[in-house]
Amino acid sequence: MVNLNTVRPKNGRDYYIALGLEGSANKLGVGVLKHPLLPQHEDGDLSFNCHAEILANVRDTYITPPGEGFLPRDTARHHKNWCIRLIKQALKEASIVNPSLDIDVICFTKGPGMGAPLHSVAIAARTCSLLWEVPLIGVNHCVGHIEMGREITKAVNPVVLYVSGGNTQVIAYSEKRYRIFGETLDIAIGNCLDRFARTLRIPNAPSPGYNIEQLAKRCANKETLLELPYTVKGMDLSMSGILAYIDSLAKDLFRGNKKNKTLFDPKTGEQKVTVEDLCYSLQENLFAMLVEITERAMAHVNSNQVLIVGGVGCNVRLQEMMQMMCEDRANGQVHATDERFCIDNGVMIAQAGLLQYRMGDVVKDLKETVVTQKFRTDEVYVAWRE
Amino acid sequence: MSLNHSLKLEIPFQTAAQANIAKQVLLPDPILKPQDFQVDYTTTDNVLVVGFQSIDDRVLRVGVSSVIDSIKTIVETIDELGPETKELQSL
Amino acid sequence: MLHPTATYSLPDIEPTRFVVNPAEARFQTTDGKTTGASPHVLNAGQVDRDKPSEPRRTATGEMTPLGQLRANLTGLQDDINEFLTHRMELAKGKKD
Repeated sequence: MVNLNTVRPKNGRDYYIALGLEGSANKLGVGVLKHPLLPQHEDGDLSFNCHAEILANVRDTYITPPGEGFLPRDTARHHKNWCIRLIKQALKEASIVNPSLDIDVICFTKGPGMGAPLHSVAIAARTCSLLWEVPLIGVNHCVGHIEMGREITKAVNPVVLYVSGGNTQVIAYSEKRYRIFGETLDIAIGNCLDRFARTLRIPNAPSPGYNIEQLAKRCANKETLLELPYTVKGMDLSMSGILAYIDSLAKDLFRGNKKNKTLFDPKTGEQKVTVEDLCYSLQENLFAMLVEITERAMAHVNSNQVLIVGGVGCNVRLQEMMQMMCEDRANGQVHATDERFCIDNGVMIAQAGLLQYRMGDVVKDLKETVVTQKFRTDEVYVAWRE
Repeated sequence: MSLNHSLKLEIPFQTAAQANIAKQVLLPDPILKPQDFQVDYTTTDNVLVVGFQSIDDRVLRVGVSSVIDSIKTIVETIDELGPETKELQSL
Repeated sequence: MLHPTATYSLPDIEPTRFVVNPAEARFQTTDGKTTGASPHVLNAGQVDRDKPSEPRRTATGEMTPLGQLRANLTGLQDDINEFLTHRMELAKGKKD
């Protein structure tokens, strides 16, 4: 059993307030979160049910023109220039009048992610901490996603599929660590989808993955699947080969390369495949691979619950395919959150950070707040779970 | 090769406390290539003094501009999110 | 409040001093010339919506001292960046 009330709220309050700051990729998120102080948390294993109340969840996304990815310098500039305004907005929405008195802890993303954008947010976090004399906590971005997913869906101990632009991991909790059971050997699935979106030159707003999902939905030819490389490797998967191949198909399609028999009828030269078909087959193929490695992990830990977190978790088709697999396993279930929480946000950082804080973790020297591009999920000691 | 391209930046804040906050926020971040570039931060009352030493102008420009960016964020944070102190406005 | 300053030095050369002239426009804005969006994204059609926030102003419309400092730093940063870029170009010209 675990005592989540190890550290009490400030000023004799019967609730905790955390400020969460997220900026590891192109989303800048600021969240304000409240946890009530409850007696059942003194001696239980209830970190998935904090009765969390979201007082503010503001986000601004740096979006580039079609065909362009987001680069560190401009992403960091976006975060630097919006950070203070977003913090002000979040404090106002949360009715925080005096941060020194009202906020227990400032939580920020320590990593993993892009160096310059992470650093921009860390500078603001450190300054607020010194200005208000409020303690700081550095949070692992992946653990942020996991804890938010648990709290929103109330899934007790699911296998977690974490899928985003920067990460693709299958995770299961065991003895104080989120263990990585399977992962990508090269690129993340969101990165694969985002880069294909650039090849197609479709808009990046609201997100390139969302636009690929819409194109896939409009595929008129769902009975015919294009044959794409299927690259599951044991518990892991690789996706760079699929990306290279689908990119070459798209380029041949745009160039009207009639020699490509997959795309054009060899006799009549008629186009057989549309952009929608490419998007549909790509998703079906990638998601099938994810379902396979997730199922493999579920078999190992004897679980029938899956929690999907990360931006790609918003994809309805992925949720459907995962659900079909889960139902076949002793009536299992898929849990997922909506775009407020599966896409990077500040509240998830506050959730994980506040759990860390309540268990006694805190930054004692600002040297601990140096951000890091690499930060493995299993490096975090999960003190708040049994 | 010596780090003989130098730049000294002096930034007056309203109070020594503010200058000290800026110094503490800037201190933790390590330099990627200390053989090419060095920074030191000191405060004298309300003035933050930043000393840069670099191997050439290009590395100096990148380093200086990056630190000024961080300082601008720190200044904006203090201005917009710091406790209101009416006396300071008249300094 | 005093203004920020900078001094550039190299052995055997007169130091170059950078000062703030509050009357000049570049010290009155937080939107610096050398801290804009990258030319690459602008050329790809980006409309820049990420300029820094305006300097903070008091009820009477004057910049707060720290707002003034941010604007001063913006101009100083531009001057330093342009100076060093110019020196780099000169050095490159000598090599060619």
